[in-house]
Amino acid sequence: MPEDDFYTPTDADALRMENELLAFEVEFLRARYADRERAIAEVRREAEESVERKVRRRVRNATADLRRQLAETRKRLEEAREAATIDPGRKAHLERAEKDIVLLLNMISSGPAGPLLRLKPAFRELERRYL
Amino acid sequence: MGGALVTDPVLVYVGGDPAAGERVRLPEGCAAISGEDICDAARRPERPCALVILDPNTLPPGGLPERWWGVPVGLALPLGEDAAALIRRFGDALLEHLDRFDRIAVRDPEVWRALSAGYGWDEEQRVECAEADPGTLAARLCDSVREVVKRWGPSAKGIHRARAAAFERFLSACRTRFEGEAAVQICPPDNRWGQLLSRNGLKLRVAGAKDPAPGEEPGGSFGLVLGEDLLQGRTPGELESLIQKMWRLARPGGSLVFFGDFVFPQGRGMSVRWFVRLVMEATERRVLLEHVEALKYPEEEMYRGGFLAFSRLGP
Repeated sequence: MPEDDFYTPTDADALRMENELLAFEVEFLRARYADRERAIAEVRREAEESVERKVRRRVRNATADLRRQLAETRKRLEEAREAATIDPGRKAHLERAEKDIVLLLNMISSGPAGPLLRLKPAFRELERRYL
Repeated sequence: MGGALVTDPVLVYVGGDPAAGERVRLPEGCAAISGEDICDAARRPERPCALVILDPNTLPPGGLPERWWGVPVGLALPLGEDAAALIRRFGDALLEHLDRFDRIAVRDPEVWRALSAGYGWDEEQRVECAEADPGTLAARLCDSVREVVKRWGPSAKGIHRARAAAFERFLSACRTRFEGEAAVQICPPDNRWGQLLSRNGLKLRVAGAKDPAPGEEPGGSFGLVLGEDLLQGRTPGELESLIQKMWRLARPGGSLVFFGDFVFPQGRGMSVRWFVRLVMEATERRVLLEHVEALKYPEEEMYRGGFLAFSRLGP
C-alpha cells in the first residue's frame, strides 16, 4: 500500500468519510444478514428432513407391527381351525373320559373322605371344574 | 464536531438547597448548581468540561441525567458511612457508572479499599480529603477533574463510553468464546479497558510496538488482542507491522479488535475500507471480518468512530 493512502481532508470531505464509514457498516450487516438467512434456511431444511426421516421411520415401524400382528392372528386362526376339525373317534373318547371323571368325583366327594379331601385346593379345583 | 472545551467551567452540584451555593467558596472557573437545576442544565446545549458532586444525598431521584456521564465526574462520598451503606444508597445510581475518567473523594481508607475492589477503580482515581470543609473539597475535586480533561481531552470520556458500550455488546454476544482467556492491548495510552475486560472475565495485559518486548507473553496465546487509536501519528508501514504483531499475539480463532476514528475534520486519516484492506494485506488474508460498527460519540452530529473485529484464522 503506498504511503499516500491517508486522507488529507477538507471540511466537505468529512461527510464523504462518514458516508463511507456508514456504507461499509451497512454492507457488512447486509452480508451478515444474508449469511444468517442462508444459515436459517439450511437449519430449516435440515429440520424438515429430520422430521420427514422420523415420520418415515414411524410409518415403517407401524407397518412392520401390523404385519407381525396379522401373522399372529393368522396363526391363531389356523390353530382354531385345527381344533374345530378334531377326529370324531377321539372326540367320543374324550367325552367318555370326562363322564368317568364326573362319576368318580361324585362318588368321592359324597363319600366319607369327601370333607377331608376338600381341604386340598387341588381337589376343590377339580370339583369346580367338573361338578 | 461538538463537545466541551478544556476552558469551559466545571459545574459543582452543591446540594438540594439553592442557598448552599453561597455558603461554599468555589475555586475560579467553577459554577455552582443546586436542586433540580442539574436536570435543567443537562438539557441546555452548552456543556461544562466536568461535573463535581459535593452532596450526592440530595441528587434528584434517578441520579444524574445520562448526558452528565459523558463528562468526567468528581464525587465526594458522605463521611461516616461504611462501604456497604454507600453501595446500598448510591450503588445503582452513581457508583456503578463511575469509570477511569472519574474521581472519587473518600476519607476512610477502608471504605476506599472496599469500594475500589468492588468497582475496579484505580488508586489514581482517589482524591485525598482529610478536611471536611466543602470549599477545600470542591477545589480538590475540581482540580482533579480538570487534570483528567487536560490529560485526555474534553471528549475522551464520552468517546470511551461510546466505545465501551459497543465493546460490551460484542463481548456479551460471544461471552463463551473468551471464558478464562487473557486479553492484550497493543500500545495502550493507559489501563482504561482493564475495568471492562475484568468485568467480562478477561485479564488485560499490555504489549509494546517492538517485537518481542522484554517480559512479554509468548505469541499465539491471547483470545483477544486490542488496538485503540492506532491510526493516529503512524505511517501505513508502521501500522502494518503493528497489525502483524497483533495477529501473532492472537491465538487461532482469537479476535483482533480495533477502535479508531475514520472521519477526520482536520489532519490526516485513513478510510475504513483502506484500513480493512491494510489488515487483510498485513495478515496475508488470514483473518475474517466478524464485526463492524460505526460509532457516534456524545454531543457529536456525525458518526466518526469505528469498531472492527477480525477473527484470526490459521495455525
